[in-house]
Amino acid sequence: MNPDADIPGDLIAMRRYARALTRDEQDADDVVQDAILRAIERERSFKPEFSRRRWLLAIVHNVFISSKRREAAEARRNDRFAETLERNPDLEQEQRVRLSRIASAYAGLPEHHRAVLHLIAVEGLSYQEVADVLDIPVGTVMSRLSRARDSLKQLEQGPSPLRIVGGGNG
Amino acid sequence: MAEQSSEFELHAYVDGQLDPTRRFAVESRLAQDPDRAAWVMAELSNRTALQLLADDPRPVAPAAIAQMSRLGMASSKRFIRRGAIFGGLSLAAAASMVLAWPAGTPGYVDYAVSSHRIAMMRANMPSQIEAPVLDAREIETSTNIDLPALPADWRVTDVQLFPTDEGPALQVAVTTGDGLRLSLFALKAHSDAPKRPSAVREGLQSVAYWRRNDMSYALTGDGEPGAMDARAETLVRS
Repeated sequence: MNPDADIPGDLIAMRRYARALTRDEQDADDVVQDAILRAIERERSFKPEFSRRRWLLAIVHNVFISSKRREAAEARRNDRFAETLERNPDLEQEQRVRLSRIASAYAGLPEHHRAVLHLIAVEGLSYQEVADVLDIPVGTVMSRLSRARDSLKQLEQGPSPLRIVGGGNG
Repeated sequence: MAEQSSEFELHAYVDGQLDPTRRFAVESRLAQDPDRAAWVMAELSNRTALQLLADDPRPVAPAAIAQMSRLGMASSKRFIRRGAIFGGLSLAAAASMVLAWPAGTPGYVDYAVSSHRIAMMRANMPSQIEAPVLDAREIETSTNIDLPALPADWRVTDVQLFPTDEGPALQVAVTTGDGLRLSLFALKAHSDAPKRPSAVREGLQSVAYWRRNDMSYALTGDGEPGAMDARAETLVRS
């Protein structure tokens, strides 16, 4: 493994991915904790042609799938989203509305769509790398990506169940 | 007019996965096709939205970092001694690890390198408080660790005790006058280290190691082994 590994960076990526899957901060922390233990346990399964980061993301995914966390409480999910808005005070009202719609649309996607979208859009993995992490053919990655984007767009255009915080005319 | 880009190509464009030639082709077509261009812009902004939503400002837990650094050590070829405690290593894997250092490299050099890396990691983490005070007398009283005098232009940035198989070691992170970040590692143990420093390379870093009586030392930092040797010499002479 790379001796100059970026451990905090790996952990942040693991947590981001776990959060995309669980949609809940506390559950995400549990998944990451289990994933670290599993990684230590299964260190020999590390394939040198995989990057360390991708290997860890694959473990996060497997831990999530095998333990199937409970559905996150809607309230907690919305809190997290409200924090995102607070961190981005420069967004105009119209953009805040749009971001809130995307947030709830994303949360409403099936998890295999969220997984593909997250790994590509947030972690910046190539389609082939996502195929490796999820252990599915690259064609499946492409079709999931396409369907995920379509349903994100459809959900986004539907009514938003989230109340906008900090806005004047919400 | 050129043919339309495929849906696949547009996704790959949004995801930044096209080489410049194909990017150029897609962009040229989009410039003439407002509907598709709007589709692409909407997807680009959704992608950015997901990045905004994924942003997680919470600092990572030090306990998780400590666990993860165990992971790196067990799989790295150099950490055979601690690797063994994970129990899962095959004999063949263990045998191949012994070869990683040149013959005669004392075991504590592993600890010197890993403590240096942890110090560099701590330096980059706001939640990890450094202890930049070096009280050589207190250290000697409580640990029997005898430190060489440091050059006047070295600034101590962190001082930590570090557990090893042979008892506590002291790790002093410094910034040299010319801005290099080094770690001096000191362990009270009679090792095989030579009296004059000898240096080995370890990835981007080099480690110079030496012994004085029953004290074993290592100096770790980025750079060539020769340069690390030379810096260690100044400590030996002090």
